[in-house]
Amino acid sequence: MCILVDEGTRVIVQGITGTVGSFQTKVMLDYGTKVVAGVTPGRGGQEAHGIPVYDLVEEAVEENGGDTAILFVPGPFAADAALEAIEAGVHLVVVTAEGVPTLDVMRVMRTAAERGVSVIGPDTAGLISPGKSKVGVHPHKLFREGRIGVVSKSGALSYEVSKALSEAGIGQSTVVGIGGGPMWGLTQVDALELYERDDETQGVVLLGEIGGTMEEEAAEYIRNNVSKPVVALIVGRYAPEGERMGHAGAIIEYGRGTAKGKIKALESAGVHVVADPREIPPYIKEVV
Amino acid sequence: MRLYEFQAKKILEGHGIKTPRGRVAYSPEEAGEIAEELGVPVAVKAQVLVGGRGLKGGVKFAENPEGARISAAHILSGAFKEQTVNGVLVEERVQVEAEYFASVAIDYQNKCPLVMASSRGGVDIERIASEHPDEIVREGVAGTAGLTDFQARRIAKMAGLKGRSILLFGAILKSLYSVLLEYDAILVEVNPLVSTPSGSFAAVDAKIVLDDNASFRHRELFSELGANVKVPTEGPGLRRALAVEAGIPTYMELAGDIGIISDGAGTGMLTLDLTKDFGVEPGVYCELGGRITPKLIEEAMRIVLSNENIRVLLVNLFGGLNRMDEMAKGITSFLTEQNRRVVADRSEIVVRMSGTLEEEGRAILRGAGVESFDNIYDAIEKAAELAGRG
Repeated sequence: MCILVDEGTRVIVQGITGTVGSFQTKVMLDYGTKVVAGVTPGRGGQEAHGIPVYDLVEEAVEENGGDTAILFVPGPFAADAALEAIEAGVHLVVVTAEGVPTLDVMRVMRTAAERGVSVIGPDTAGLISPGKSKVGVHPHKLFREGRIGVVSKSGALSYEVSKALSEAGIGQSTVVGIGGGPMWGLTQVDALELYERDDETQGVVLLGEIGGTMEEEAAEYIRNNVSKPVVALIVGRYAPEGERMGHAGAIIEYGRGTAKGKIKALESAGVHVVADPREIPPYIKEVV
Repeated sequence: MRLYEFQAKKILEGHGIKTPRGRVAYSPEEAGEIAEELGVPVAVKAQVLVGGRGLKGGVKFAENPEGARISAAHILSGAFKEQTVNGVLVEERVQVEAEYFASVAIDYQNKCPLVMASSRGGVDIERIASEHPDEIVREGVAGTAGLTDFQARRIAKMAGLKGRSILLFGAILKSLYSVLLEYDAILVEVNPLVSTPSGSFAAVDAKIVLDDNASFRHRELFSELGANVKVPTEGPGLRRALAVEAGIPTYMELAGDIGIISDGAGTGMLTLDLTKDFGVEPGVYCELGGRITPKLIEEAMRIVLSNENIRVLLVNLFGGLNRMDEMAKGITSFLTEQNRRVVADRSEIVVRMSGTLEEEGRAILRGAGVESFDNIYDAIEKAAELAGRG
């Protein structure tokens, strides 16, 4: 087992003929992801890497049975593409775009919630269940199949930590990038809930950052609901107040959202918090 | 993008919310002339994008044109070191009966607009929130109908408004809500919203923050706003402005002499943390986002290294979407003969590169005589050594 995506996941790529979409589709196919169809409005009937391309997501779903959509569609058009995927009946939508207008994100999230669809992102690297499926842009050579779940706001931080885990011989069940915020579909709490229920996952690495209150909520959730060991790393310990550190959600305002506060909340919930990715593998070996 | 007070007020005026008469002056003389035209006691207010300007001497009151000139001279001569003062707003002083707080903002957690109102206006909302949390009315607008008239009236009533004022205040809340939707704002706030002896309301201060992600829907507004704003011509302010112009998402200067360029916020913050833990001080934090062109990284290197305090440039890249072959091309195209000489004179470059097409990227760098690391720790150690503190 693993969470959210596995060997059976049938993926539709929206924006499959764009430079990024085309390149990443090729990489996903090479990895073994079952990409069953692509969508680019106006390009219906063509093929990309041997995959049929459709004008509409509903056509792609109808003819190929896709259940998961990944969007390589720029920010200004991403919300519309996500709504189209939701309408077409997929149950997981991965929005990689940065720069999606806030009001658009709001509409997508509310529609998704009404339909019971999970949205990952926006501004996300996606997710990978190593050895099974990758619905994302991860440099997958650095990942390895195993039993540790990794959930991260930052995609690259999850690569950094997964690389350290793999090099230490520790594989991952599923690595999820939830995106840079400040409005998230899938949250750390959602991921923790899935990892807790997943038989294969034996422990979780939580990679957080300054800004907002998500890590505090995760801490509260862990205290009451998570029996598996959790190790956390919070970046932005030296971020100056009032500066957005790159992710829209990564900002300390009015003294809130500091790394210190998050570390304290997590530690008080029994989470082992480290300052350096190198400390994660030894801890995992010790407790799992 | 946060708007200046005068810009925000112009938008509110367009939505039927009264604001004090007045306009912006860029010199003491101009301030005096405006006060003369108004013919009443005035407020002279620094146009800066920081909170709490009143406490820092950014708001002064004057009884006559001469007073307005003197106040403007004080403010324009720079009470705000870190911020460019973009003129002073000279406006009539409004007679105040009571001060309220009214705002509509995006509630990121509940994914809907949030209306807030309070009869404790005039002070920082954070202070109201901590000292009188019960006196802020909060109501999310989650329904498809948007903010309805009755909902706005209910919020007004709960905030302590009475009689006809309930209707007036409710209408103002609806206007703020419309502004939020129409302009893709993430915050529209009036504090204080004052009631006057004549029974009307006026926005004495106004704050609007627009969603940068939606700027493509408001090109005219954004370029008009840009045209009204003074751009710094030297130092950190200039470099920051150049970074914005180049499309660099995050550029800030810190106290040290190590310049950090990263592709992605997580990598950037990790680099900053580990560098400081190692005992060396970052001097620039420059984060390029997850989707970089060779041109962008080249531009970023140019801007960071134009800061003479930077002795070592530490580039930390861990690509998913970002392809390392393209990053390497950007780095090598920066390293022209001329730039190499400039760099050799003053600073060193350390590159760490991992992720998508890293072998290809590393080969391109090697071809240009640039060695790169495949892990952040060795790169930081090297940067520290080059900065003379290994």
